[in-house]
Amino acid sequence: MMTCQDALERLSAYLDGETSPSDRLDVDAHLQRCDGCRRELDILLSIDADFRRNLPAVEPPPEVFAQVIQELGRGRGHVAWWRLGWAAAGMTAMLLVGTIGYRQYDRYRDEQAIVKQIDQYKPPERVSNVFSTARYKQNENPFDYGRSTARQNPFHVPPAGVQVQVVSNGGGR
Amino acid sequence: MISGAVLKQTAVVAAPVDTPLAELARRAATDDLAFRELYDRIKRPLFTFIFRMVGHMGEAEELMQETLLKIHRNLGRLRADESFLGWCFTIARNTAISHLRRRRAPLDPIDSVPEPVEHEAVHASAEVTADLQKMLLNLPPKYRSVFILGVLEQREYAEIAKIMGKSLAAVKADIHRARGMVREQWVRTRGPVVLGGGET
Repeated sequence: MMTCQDALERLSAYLDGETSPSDRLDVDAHLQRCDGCRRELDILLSIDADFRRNLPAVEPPPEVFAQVIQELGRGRGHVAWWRLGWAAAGMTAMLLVGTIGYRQYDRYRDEQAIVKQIDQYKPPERVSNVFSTARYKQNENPFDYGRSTARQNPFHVPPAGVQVQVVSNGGGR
Repeated sequence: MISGAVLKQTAVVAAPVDTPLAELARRAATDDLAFRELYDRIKRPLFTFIFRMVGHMGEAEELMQETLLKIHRNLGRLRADESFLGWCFTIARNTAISHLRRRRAPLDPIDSVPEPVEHEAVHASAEVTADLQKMLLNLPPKYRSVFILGVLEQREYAEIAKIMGKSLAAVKADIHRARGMVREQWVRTRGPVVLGGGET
């Protein structure tokens, strides 16, 4: 059998039709024999009715929706700064990737050209006379007696009028 | 005592019809006309809830705008199995609670009572309305919101539980507690008048 305390704890849910079927039957049975709990139920019913009758639904003024639409329109027309930032960052990144890629490709092309040149290179035939390629490699003119050739060619006879300065080699010979 | 038939009828009337709303919600993100239609369907319960939560017409209008903008921006996040109106109530409730936390200044009593709807003006006097609204505002926000949804809006407990992000048992306990707090105030100010006047 349900006590008054049990019934009072269930009255709110009972009013809202949110009790289980068995609880509803128990509360019904209790209310039939308890004047105090029935009185409490009447008070709660009066409160609900009073609130629902005197606090009616309220309609928002038309300006509310108009301003919302205006705000949404502004949002659509106006590009947010962070979107612009992302767009700029994206373009910069694309530009960077493009530049680096092109430079890499350019370097690869140059390397390929060098490799090709190396592959096609034929070394010159060896020359073994006194005017060897070594001299040419030094970028020296073997007929320019006035410069270094005089010291290197032991058979050198200086032309008339050319002063030759002989440098001692320390007497090693 | 209440008959089961009366309660059942109340529950049927209070049940939200969400299927068309969900379809409208899917279109409303890109279609202004659909959003307008959606707004027309939800504006009354949503604005009433917000207004009863804050008790101030000007603030309620601002919060309604804020809520609508949040709803529009987040339409894509609405799950297919979710009740649209319940989802809107969740956004409205969170917006109102955040506002109440920020608010420091007391309410202006002149602006806190709305103009009654025309056909109900016969029953409601401004004084009674102000008394009842004041009782609501005396409740802590969490009890106020469940009282508005459960008693005034007559939403089902399961739906309120989703809106509040609570269990069914917690909602049941909160509504019971809210009714108790309102009862104390109501018996002090309105009880003898209404009960003596044969209202029950």
